[in-house]
Amino acid sequence: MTADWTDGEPRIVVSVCAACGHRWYLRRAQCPNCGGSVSSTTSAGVGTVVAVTSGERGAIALVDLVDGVRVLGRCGSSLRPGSAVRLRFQAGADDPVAVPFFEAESS
Amino acid sequence: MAWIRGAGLTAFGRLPGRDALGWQATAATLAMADAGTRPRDVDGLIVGYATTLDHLMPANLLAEYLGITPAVALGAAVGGATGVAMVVQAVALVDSGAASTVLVVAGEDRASGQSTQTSTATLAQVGHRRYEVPIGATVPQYYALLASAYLHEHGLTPGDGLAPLAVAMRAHAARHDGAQFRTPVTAADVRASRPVADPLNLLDCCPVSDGGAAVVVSATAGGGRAVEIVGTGQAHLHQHISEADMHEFGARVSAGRALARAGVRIGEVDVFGIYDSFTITLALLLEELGLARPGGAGAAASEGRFDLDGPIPVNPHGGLLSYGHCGVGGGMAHLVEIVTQLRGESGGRQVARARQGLVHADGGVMSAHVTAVLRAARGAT
Repeated sequence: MTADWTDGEPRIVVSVCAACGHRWYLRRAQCPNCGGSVSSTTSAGVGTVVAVTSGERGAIALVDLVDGVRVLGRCGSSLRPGSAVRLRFQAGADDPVAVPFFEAESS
Repeated sequence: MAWIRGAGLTAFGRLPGRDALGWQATAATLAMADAGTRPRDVDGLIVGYATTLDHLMPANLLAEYLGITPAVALGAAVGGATGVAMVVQAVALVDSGAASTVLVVAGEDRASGQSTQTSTATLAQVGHRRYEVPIGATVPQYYALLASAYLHEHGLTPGDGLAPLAVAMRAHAARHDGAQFRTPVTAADVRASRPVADPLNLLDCCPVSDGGAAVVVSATAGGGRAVEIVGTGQAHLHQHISEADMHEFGARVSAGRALARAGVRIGEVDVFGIYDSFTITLALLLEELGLARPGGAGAAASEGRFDLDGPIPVNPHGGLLSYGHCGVGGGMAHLVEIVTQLRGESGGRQVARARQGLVHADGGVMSAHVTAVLRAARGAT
């Protein structure tokens, strides 16, 4: 397994099946599509907002990365579905590690 | 298939005085009395999880409390789909001969037995522990994300796309003594209510309630009030929102299986119990079930299509949005209501000529889907 932001390394790792090419985000020991072995690649951190909400605990977005996976992260409040976004990492006061934070591509 | 011989549903609300076991026992006693079943007749017991109880063996706990010594006992956890899923398992037990009289129970002091913060944090654990929970999303925020995508795709506003569903559920609840919220609301009221998770406001969200529900499932009808379970189906296509197909959550597949087993077309169903934890939940389910066109659930609600005298009556008891949501019992309340409707015992909220009903529940973030098709006993209604 390649370490990612959940391990304290500020990057999103995309898993890729060596056998069938399936790509996914949520860490697994084998491909959920065919059981094949896993290789991984680091996301370029570029994508499009699918959905956004702001609640009592801050704004969050669901983003489709160009790497072919969907990722949940925090975001700025100005984003809308369809917005082009770029990934960075940010730790709030209560966060043990920096978490994905999406900001508008143009900013 | 099997028969629902008895059903019990308590009032829902913020009703201190009972713990989870107390609500379960109350609902179970109502259902057994309704069925004419004694505790010693019960040879199968299935009990849903309660977040305030957090016990490893909920069925054994209730069995001992009620003096039941079943041949089969198990607890169940499929989120909001648990209630209908338990009934599906009860049918399987009866069909296999493993049990002949199965008591299915849910109940929880979800409102008064814990703080709102604790409840919110517990429910948020349906997110992925490693990749989603650390982001801090709550269940309302997960459903708000679904609402955001839905409104964007269809070019709708919350006021026209979602609010009319809350209005319809409240109008139904006004006719049920047990409902938590019975004062009619307008779409403007929904939009003026407190923002919870944009685009969802307070009245787009079900309340957290105390309450319980139970049914007795039997191999035999035992009388004209029994309701037959003529088809069941399930679909479990994802757990986490990151991996959900937003155009195929599982409702169509689950209902398709249940209707096929029942030999019933959805157009032949007279009354529906559809899970409605949020307005967006109900919109997405109605559309995936084919009961409204894509993006059209809110408009259909505005036109009265889901009213008691409309072509597709939905949740005559008021649903989770207005009857209330005590956890597993909240999802079972739809089932109890459809049973009551098919018996013709719904009084002032009775849907005319209700012969066949469909109940559909989802758990998690549109993750687990379970459907049951029910039919009134010959000669009823």
